[in-house]
Amino acid sequence: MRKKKCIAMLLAGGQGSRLLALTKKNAKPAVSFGGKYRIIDFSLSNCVNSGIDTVGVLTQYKPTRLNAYLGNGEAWDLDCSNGGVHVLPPYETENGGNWYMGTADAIYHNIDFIDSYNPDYVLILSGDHLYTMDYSKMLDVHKANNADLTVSVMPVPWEEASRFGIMETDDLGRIVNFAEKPPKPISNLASMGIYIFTWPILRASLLSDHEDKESSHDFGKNIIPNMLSAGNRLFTYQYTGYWKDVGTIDSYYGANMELLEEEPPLDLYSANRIYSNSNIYPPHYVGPTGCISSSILSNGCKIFGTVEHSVIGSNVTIGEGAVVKDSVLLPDAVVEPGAKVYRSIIAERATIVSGTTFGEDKPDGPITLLGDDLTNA
Amino acid sequence: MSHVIGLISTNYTGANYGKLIEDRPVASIPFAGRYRLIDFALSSMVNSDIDTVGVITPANYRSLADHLNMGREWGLNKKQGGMFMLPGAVHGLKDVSARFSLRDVILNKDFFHRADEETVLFCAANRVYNIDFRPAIEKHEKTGAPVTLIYKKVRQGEHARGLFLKIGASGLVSSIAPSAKGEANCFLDSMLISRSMLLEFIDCYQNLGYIDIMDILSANLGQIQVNSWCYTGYEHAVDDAEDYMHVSQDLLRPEVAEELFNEDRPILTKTQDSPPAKYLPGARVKNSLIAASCVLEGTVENSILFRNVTIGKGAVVRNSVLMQHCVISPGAVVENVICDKYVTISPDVKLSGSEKKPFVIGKKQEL
Repeated sequence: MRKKKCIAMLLAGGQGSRLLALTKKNAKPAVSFGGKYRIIDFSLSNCVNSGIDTVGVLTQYKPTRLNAYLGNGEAWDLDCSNGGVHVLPPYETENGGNWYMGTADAIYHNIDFIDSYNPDYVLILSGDHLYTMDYSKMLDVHKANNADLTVSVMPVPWEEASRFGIMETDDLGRIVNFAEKPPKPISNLASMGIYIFTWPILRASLLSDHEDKESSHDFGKNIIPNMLSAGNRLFTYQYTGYWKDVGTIDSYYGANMELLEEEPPLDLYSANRIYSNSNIYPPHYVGPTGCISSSILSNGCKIFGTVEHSVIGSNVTIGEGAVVKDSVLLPDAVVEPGAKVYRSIIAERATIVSGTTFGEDKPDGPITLLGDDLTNA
Repeated sequence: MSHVIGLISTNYTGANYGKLIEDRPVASIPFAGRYRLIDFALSSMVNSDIDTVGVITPANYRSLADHLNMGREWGLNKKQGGMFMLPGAVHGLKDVSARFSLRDVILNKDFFHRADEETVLFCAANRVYNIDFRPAIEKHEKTGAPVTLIYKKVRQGEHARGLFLKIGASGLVSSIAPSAKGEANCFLDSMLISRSMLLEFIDCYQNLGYIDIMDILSANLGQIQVNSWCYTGYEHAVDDAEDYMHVSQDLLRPEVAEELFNEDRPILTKTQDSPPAKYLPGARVKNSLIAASCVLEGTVENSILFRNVTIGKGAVVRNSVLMQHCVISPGAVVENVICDKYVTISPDVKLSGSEKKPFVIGKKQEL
């Protein structure tokens, strides 16, 4: 394989257990979002839109659908003859095999893959964040600082800072202190889990971390503190746009609802497209009895009922007399005639039976969830 | 491996299309909110297990080549078989409405010499259907006749265009005529023809210049066994703006949409990765097809909206087709109108055609 300046390694193996039923059959990066997308579309599209054409996707938890979705990467223009998408699951060697024990361990086990492209830099990404970002600008900053590691950071509200990896920097943006989820944060600059490493430095750090029996082989807990104490050049890259880790049902629901605002913070309509591997459906059909307001609808839907303030995924059917309000319907969901859905997430291929009511029509009530392939009765 | 190669002829035009073909061939007229006319024949072929398709291109093939993208969305960018762009003959002042011009075939004779499939499924690209060709292919192979013409029965008074077939009790075609009265058999511009017969035609008519294969068949029905296969599903030709509007309105009938957009045999097309359509407060949409990334704040009834169409506050769209990137400004009213791409209707402007004669607005106009 020919040399690459920068390749991306996308961590897509986590379970995302706080998404409950949404990740029962599916890895979190493959969870549907915003009608026609899956969460991983955002990181993959960012790569392509930033000129990165080689992406290793590290999979572990329930990867079947994620693998099928990635295919040969064609949907993201990542079906290149030199580069493209590579799915990298844990594997066995002559010394036995192990699952990926941590984020750094996953990269450690793919050192040979990275070496085969002999890159100068490696971009480490998470497959479960929603944002649009031009990584090439971050890479420029990394180079200008002659950095060993650049961490993308954004200011978060002080009261939330203890949920993140928090950076303290000097005036030039060089990291002087780093604390993973500190009880008493000294700064509100949070790591977004996006790192650019100079590859030879990371490589050496991974090798020594692997030997450390005490290590949990995690970037935030081990690699970054180790590099900091070793005196490496660690810098921050300040990002100011929209970024969201949809870790919980509430934040997942909230991120979907934000798309319904007149000017949503996550702009799907910008010049840099978010690519997705979607089935080719006809435009959505609104029947004579259909009534839709303040919502987004994807291709292939057939709407005969009332839809209000909701996100409707591809190929959803909503029957006559049905009402869907303040809800997120994932692809292929069915709301039968006369059924009512309030403040709910209806997962893929799930069915709300005719005449039933699902969820509560209360503005700040709990969010009700129906998992993939389920029926509410 | 299929025994059949597909061949789609797009190197023809028609006087009646008007502004719809100002800068595009008939095959790439946008249709049904996200497709182009050629998608129906091409997807039907691919869904009938055909994995080699030649497309005979017209001189102005830019939009067609862009759309087909060497067959990518149809799974035809492959090593065994795939999509072949075949240059069409430049017709000059000759009869450009000939859909099966032998000149186009002669020009590409290497393509037919090289193939080892026995049969060619030769289709035009102006008809909207979702045909499973496999039973036709099966019948063609079983009967052993060199040609099988695909037709549908039309009732008395039913609108149909094209050539009409007289068919004997044995299923053999006894005459081919440009018109018919009463109940008739309308030829669907689709035929199965043996490759060896096509090569024979190439040899025989090498010097005759411009001749339509249908004329050759018509003149030689005594010598050549021409069989027939009856298609019974939904089909409609798009031969002018009235047809275009008529078939567009047909799409709003659920039984037609269900048949055309059969999930097991999907009509494929180039994908654009547009975000979902957005309904703002004030949107009132009834009985319409709405493509991705439209932004709707007005009233839409009985209409087809392609992607990225904007309907302003208080605007009204009825019985119309708006192609991609059209903008209907606040307060404007359009009825029985076909807007080509990038048309902008200014605030409070009222435009209407009639149900019989839709008003066609050419590309990029501002009114």
